[in-house]
Amino acid sequence: MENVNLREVDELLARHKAGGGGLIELLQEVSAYYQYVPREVVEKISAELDVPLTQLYSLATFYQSFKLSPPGKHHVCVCTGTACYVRGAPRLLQTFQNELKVEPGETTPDGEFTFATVNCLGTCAIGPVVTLDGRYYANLSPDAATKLIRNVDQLQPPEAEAKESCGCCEGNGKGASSTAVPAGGPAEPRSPFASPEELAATAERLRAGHDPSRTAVIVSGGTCGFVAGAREVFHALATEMERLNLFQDADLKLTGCHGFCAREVLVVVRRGEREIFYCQVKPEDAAELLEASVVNDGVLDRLLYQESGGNGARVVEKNKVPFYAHQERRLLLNNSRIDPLSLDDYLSHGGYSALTKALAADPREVIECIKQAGLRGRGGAGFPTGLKWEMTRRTTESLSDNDDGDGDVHCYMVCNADEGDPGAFMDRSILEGNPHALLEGMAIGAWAMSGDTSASCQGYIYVRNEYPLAIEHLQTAIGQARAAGLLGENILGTGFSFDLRIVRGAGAFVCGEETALIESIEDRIGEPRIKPPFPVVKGLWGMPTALNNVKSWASAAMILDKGPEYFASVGTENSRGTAVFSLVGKIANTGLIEVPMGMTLGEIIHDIGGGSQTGRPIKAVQTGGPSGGCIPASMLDIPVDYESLTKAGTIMGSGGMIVMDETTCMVDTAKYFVHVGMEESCGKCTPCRDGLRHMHYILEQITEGRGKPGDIELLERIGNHIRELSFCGLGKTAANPVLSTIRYFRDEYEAHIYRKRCPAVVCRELISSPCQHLCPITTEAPEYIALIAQGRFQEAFDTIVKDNPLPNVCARVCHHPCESRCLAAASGGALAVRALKRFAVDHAMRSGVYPPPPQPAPTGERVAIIGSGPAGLMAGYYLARSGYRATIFEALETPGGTLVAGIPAYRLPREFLEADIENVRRAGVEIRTGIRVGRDVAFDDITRDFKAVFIATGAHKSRKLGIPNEDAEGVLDSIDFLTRVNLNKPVRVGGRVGVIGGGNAAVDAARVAMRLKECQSVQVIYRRTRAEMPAFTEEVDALVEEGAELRLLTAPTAILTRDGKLTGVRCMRMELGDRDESGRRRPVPVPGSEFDVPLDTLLVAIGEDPDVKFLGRDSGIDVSRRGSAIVAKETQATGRAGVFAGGDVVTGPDTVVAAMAAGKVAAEMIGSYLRSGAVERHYDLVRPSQYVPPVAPAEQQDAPAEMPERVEVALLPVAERLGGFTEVELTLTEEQAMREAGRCLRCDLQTEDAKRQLVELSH
Amino acid sequence: MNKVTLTIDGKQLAVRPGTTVLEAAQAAGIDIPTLCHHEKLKPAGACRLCHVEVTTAARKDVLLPACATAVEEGMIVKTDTPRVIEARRFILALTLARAPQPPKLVELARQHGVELKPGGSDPLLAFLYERVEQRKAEVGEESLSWCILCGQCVRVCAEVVGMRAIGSASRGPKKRIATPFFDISPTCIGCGSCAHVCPTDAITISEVE
Repeated sequence: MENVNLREVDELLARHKAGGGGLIELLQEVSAYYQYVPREVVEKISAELDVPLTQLYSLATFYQSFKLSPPGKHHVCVCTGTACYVRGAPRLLQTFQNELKVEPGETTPDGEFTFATVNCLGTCAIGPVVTLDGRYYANLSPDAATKLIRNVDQLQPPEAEAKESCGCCEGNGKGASSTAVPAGGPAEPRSPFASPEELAATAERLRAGHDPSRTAVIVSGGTCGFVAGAREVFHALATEMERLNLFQDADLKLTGCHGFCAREVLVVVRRGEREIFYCQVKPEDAAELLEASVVNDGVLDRLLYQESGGNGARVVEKNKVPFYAHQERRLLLNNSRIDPLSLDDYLSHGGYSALTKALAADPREVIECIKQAGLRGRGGAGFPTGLKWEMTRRTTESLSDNDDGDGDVHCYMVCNADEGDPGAFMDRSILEGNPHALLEGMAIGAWAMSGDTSASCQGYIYVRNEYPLAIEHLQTAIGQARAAGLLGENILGTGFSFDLRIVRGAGAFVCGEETALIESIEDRIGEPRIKPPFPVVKGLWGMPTALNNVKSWASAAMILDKGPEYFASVGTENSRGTAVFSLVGKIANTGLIEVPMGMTLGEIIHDIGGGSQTGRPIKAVQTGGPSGGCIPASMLDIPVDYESLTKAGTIMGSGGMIVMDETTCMVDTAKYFVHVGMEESCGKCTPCRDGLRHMHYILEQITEGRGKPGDIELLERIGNHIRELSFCGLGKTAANPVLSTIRYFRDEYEAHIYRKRCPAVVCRELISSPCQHLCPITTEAPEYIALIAQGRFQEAFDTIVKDNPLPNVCARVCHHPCESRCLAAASGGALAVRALKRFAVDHAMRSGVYPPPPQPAPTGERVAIIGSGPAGLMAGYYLARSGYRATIFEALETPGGTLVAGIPAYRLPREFLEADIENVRRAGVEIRTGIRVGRDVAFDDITRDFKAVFIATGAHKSRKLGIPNEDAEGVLDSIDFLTRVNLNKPVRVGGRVGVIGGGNAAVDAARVAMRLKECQSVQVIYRRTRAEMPAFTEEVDALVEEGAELRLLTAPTAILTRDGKLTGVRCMRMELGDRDESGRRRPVPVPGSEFDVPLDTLLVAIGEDPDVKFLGRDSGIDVSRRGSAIVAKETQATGRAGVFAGGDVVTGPDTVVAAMAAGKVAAEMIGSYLRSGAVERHYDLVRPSQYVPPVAPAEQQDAPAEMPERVEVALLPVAERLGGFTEVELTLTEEQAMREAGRCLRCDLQTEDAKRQLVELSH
Repeated sequence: MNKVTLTIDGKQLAVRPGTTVLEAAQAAGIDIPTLCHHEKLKPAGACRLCHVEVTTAARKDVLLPACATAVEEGMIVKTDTPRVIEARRFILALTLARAPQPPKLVELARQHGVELKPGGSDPLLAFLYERVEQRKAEVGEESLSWCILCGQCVRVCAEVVGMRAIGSASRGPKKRIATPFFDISPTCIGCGSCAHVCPTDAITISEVE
C-alpha cells in the first residue's frame, strides 16, 4: 500500500476545530482531500481528537459516501433512482458492466475507472442520468454511454468551478464549493437591519425602485436547467442584451427552477402581468428571441409551447400552457420570480415580512396561526405541524421554568432536507430556487417555540450531499441573512437570537427518519432511537427539537405572511393547502408541480402531465418512494390527500410521483424498491434487516424464472410481519411496494411464477430476448438474425421453420410483435425482424427447399380439425409431427382459410401460401376441401369418428351497422367482398366506393377496391382519429399512398337510397370527448354536423364475429354472446372432453400469428389429452435451442459506437401496384440484410444461461 | 412514589412509573423471550423478539416491544395471543436463519416450535431451511456466523466497561459486529464482558501474543 501523506491531516484538524463541525463533516473533508478515507488518517484523527476508533470506523463504513480504498482515475456513477430506472438505467448499468468489466462499487484493475451507483441524484426529469468525473450526462443512451467511456480522455476537463458537479460521492473531490458567487448581480454587502421598521422601509424602497411595467427576461435555472444549458442561454442573452443596448429598458434574471423540466431551457419574458413563455431555448436563439419580444412587442412563434407531437396550437402565455394552467403554484411561486442569490430580490417580493410579523406577535399566537391553517407535515407522514410546534414549546417552557441559569436549556429547529426518496426533487428545487423562504420559516419557528423562554435556539439544515447547488445557495443565503441581521444574535434588534448551520448528509436514506437524522447530527451512525420520548420532548442532545421538512418550514413562512385562511383556502377538509410533486417517469410533461390537495391523480397525469410519454397506456402511479405503493391506472380518480392515498395502499410521501406504463414490470419494480429498502436499512432490527433480504431473494427468484407456487403468499406473510414488527418508519413501510403491487397486479406475479412470462418484457432472465419472448410461437429470432449477419442463410431458414411450418406467411403478413420492444429502438430503430425473416425465406425458396418433415412413430390415433386457416394448419402440422393422423375439414374449395380468402394477394402471393400449405401436407396432414361441417357432415359424426377435435373456423360474420337501409343494393359486407375477389369470383362494385371501419378488414377491402378496374375512388370512413385506427400502421400508410381518402372523426347515421339502390351515406362529424378507462378519448357526435357522401358501393367493415351454429344445440361447448367458442385460456380446451378450439373462433378477429399460436398449443394439449386423458400445460423459460456465438470480439471493438439506422424496406412503386395484385413489399438485398442483422444487440446472450454456454462453446 | 397499575395476562400489577412492560412482566414471573435485552444495559429494541399485544386508552391490540415500552395506567398486556406467538416465531426463524448453529439459540427457537429442518409444513421455515442449506453449500458450515447482531457486546463495552473497543461495521444486511478495521482493537482491555453477555456464544476470548 502507498504511504499516505499525513501532513495535511493537521491542517484539516485545525480547520475543523475552528469550524466547529462534527466528525462526519471531518470525514467528508478527509474524503474530499484524499478521495477516500485512509486508515492511517482515521487512526491519527482518533488519537488527536481522542475519539474512539470504533466510532470513526462505524461512521466510515455506515455512510455510503465514504470509501475505505482509493478510487480509480475516473469516476462513473449511474443514477438508479426510480425515474432513471424506469427510463432505462438498468440498460446503462449493463452497458458499463460490459464495457468496464467490473460490478458497481468496484474499480477497474488498471485503476482507470471506479464504477458506482447512486440511489437518486434528484434530477429525475432528465433521466437516465450518469455522472462522469462530476459532470452530468442527461437522457443518456447506451450508445452514448459506450462512447463516453471509450473517449474519456478526449473529454474537456470540468470547469474549475463546475456547479453541476454531482456530489454523489465524497471521493470525487468536487463536492459543493463553499465560495458562492451571486450570479444575478453584485454581492449585497450591508449592515444589519437594526429594527423591523428598517427592514420594512428597505423592502418598500426596493419595491418602489422597481417599475412593474419594465420588461424582465427570466431564465429558469436549477440543476436540471443548468444541465440542459440554462447558463449558456443566460450568458447568450446577456451578451445580446448588451449588444442591443437593452439593459436600459429590461432586466435579465436567472431564477430557480420553473418546474417544466421536460421543456428546459425555459425563458419567460414578463411585462406587467403578461408572461410570454419560451421553451427549449438554445443560446443561438438569444438574438431572435430578444428582437421579437423585447425590442418589439411580439412573440417568436417557433419557441412557443406546443403540445408534444407538434400538432397542437402554440401557446403564448405561461399561465395558458396546460402544464401550468391546472396548477396552483403557491409555495413554488417565488421559484420562478426571484433570483435565489439575491436577498434584495427576496425582500422586494415581501421576503422576511412574515418574520417581522411573527416577532411582533406572541410566540403562542404564531403557533395558533399554524394550527389554524391546518398545515400537516410535508415530509409525508402528515403530522399536524402546529401541534408539533406546540409540544416542542411546552417542553421548552417547562425546561425554562426550571432553568437554573447555567445556560444549558436549548431548543433546536431542524430541517430535514435529506430528500432521499428516489424520484423526488421538490425540496432540492426550493433549496436552490428560494433558500430564504426556508431560513425565514425556521426563524419563525425558532421564535414560536423558544421566544419568551430562557432557552437558546439553534437550527440545523440536514441536506443531502448529492445537492451541491442547493448547499451553495443555502450557504449564500445564510451568509446574507446573517449580514442583514435576520439570523444570528439580536435579530432585527428585537433581542431574539437564532442561528443556522448546514449539516451535509453522507449517504444514508434512513437519516430521513427523524431520530436517525438526529443521531447523525450527533456524529453517530444513523440508527433510529426508541420512541417515546419523541424529539419534541427529547431530541437533539436531549433537548426539545422541532424537525420539519423543507416544504413545511417554507409553508410556515407563507402562512404567517398571507394568513392561515389563505393557506386553507384550497385543499380538502383534512388535507389543507397545496401538495408539491415531482412528476416523473413515463409521462409527457415531466416536471415539478404544485396542486391543491384533493386533485385527482387522473387530472394530474392527463391535464398537467399530458398523459403517457410514449403513447403506450399508463399502467400505474407510484408515490412515496420505497415507503409507498403503486396505484393502478384504473384508480386514477382517487384524490391526492393523506387519507385517500393511505387507503389505496401507498403514502403521500414527500412528493415523488412516478408514472409507469405497460413497459414497466411491477414485480421488477417491487424488487427494485425492496433492494433500495434493504441497502438503506440501518441493520439495527431483525425484521427490516433480514426480512427485506429474504423478500428480495424471493423476488429475485421470481424475476429470474425460478418462482414457486406459494411465493406470493410467503412475500405477503414476511411483508406483513416487517410492517408490524420493524423498529422505525423505514422498516414499517419498506414492504409497501411489494404488498401494493401484489394487491393490484397479482396476475403479473402469477405470470412470472406459473407461466414464466414477464408481461412487461423487462425481466431479463425470463424473457431472454424481447423478440423471442414476444413471438407467440417463440421463434428464435436472435439466432436466425445472427446467422443472417454471418451469411449463413440456409441455417437461418432452418431455424425459422423449426418453429413455424408457415414461414412464407409469417415473413409477409405477421404483425411482428417481435419488433415492438426491440432494444435497438434506442439506437437507430428497432430491427426490421420481419424483413429479415422474409429475406431468409425468399433466399431459401429460390435455392432450396424446406427441411425434410420429421418422421415420428405413428400413434394411429385420428384427430379432426375444422378449418384450414392459420390455427388449423398449425395444429395439423404439430399433431402430425407427434405421430397423430390429422384431418382438416375446409368448407371452401381452396385451403388456407383467412390466409386465402381474407388476405389479398398483393400482401401474400398465392404461390408462397401454397408452398407453406404443401409443407403442412408433406408432414402428413390430410386437407379435405369443400366440406362444410354442419352441412356436408354432422359435427356429432366427427366427434364419433375422431379421438379429438380442434375447432378453428375463424370469425367471418360481418357485423351490421344498425342504421336504416343496410340491405340496399350496393351495400356489401367486407368479408364477403374480400372472399369473392380473392377467390376470383364475380363481384360488382361501382365507381365511388366507401368503406366504413378502421380495422385491417377495412383497410384490406379498401386497398382491394383500389385495384379493381370499375373503381374510381375510395374513401374510408372512421369515427376516431388515425392514431386510434386498429389496422396495422404500415397498411394504413400504404392505403393513403395508393390514393385512398381517409374521412376521420366521421360516423355514418343513415344509408341513402333511391329505388332500393345505394346513393350515398349520411354522416356526422365527431370530436374527441372525455377519456375512457384506457385514457383514450371517446368520440362524441357534433350536433348539426350531418353531411352526405355520394357513393355507388359501400363496404361495411366494422368488425366480424365467429359463427358456430354448425355445432348444433347440444354440443356441450359453451358459446359466448358474440358467438365465440369459450375455452380454457391456457389450454384451448372447451367444456367437452376431447374438443378444443382456437384462433378467431375463440378470440374474434385477431392476428394470424395469434391464431397459429393457439393451434400450436391446441396440438400440444390434444397430445396430452390423448396420452393421459388430462389436459395439462407446462411452461418453460423462453430460450433459444442453441446460441449462435457473436462475431469475434476483436472486430466488434473496432465497430463504430454509433449504430446505423434501421433498413428501409423497398416497396413497389404505386403506379405499378394499382393495375393488379402484384406483391407490394419487396425483399432486402443480401448486403442490406447482413447489415441490418448486424445491428442486433443480441439480448439473448445476456442471460446467465447464455453466458455459461458461450464460455463452454469457446473452450 | 405513585404506582402504575396494569394487567399482564390477566394479572393485576402495580409498578413504579417508568418501568418497562418487560420489567413488569419479569417481576411478576411472566416469561417474555428476549435476545438483545440485558438488565444492566439500556434497552435497544433491536431484536424485536419481545413483542406483546397491548391495549391502552389510545390504542387497541397493538404489537409493541416489551423492552422499549413503558407501562401506562390501565394498560392491558397479553403475552400469549396467536399474533404474539406468530410474531415471536417469525423473529426466531429469521434469527435462526442468520445463525443456525449456536446451541442456545437453537434450543430457544425449538421451545417456540421453530426448527429449520427438512420436510416441515410451515412454508416460511421450509424456505429458510433451504436458504441456510444453500449458504452452507456456498461457504461451508464452519464459516457460518454465530452472531445475531443483538449488539449487547457493543453496548456493554460502551455503557459498562467504558472502552468502546467493539462496534459495528457497515449497515443493513451487511452489518457486522467488528473491531475497527477487523483488527486488534487498540482500546480492548480483555475483560471478557462482551463474551459474557453474548446470548449465542459468538464471542470467545483467547490469548494472543
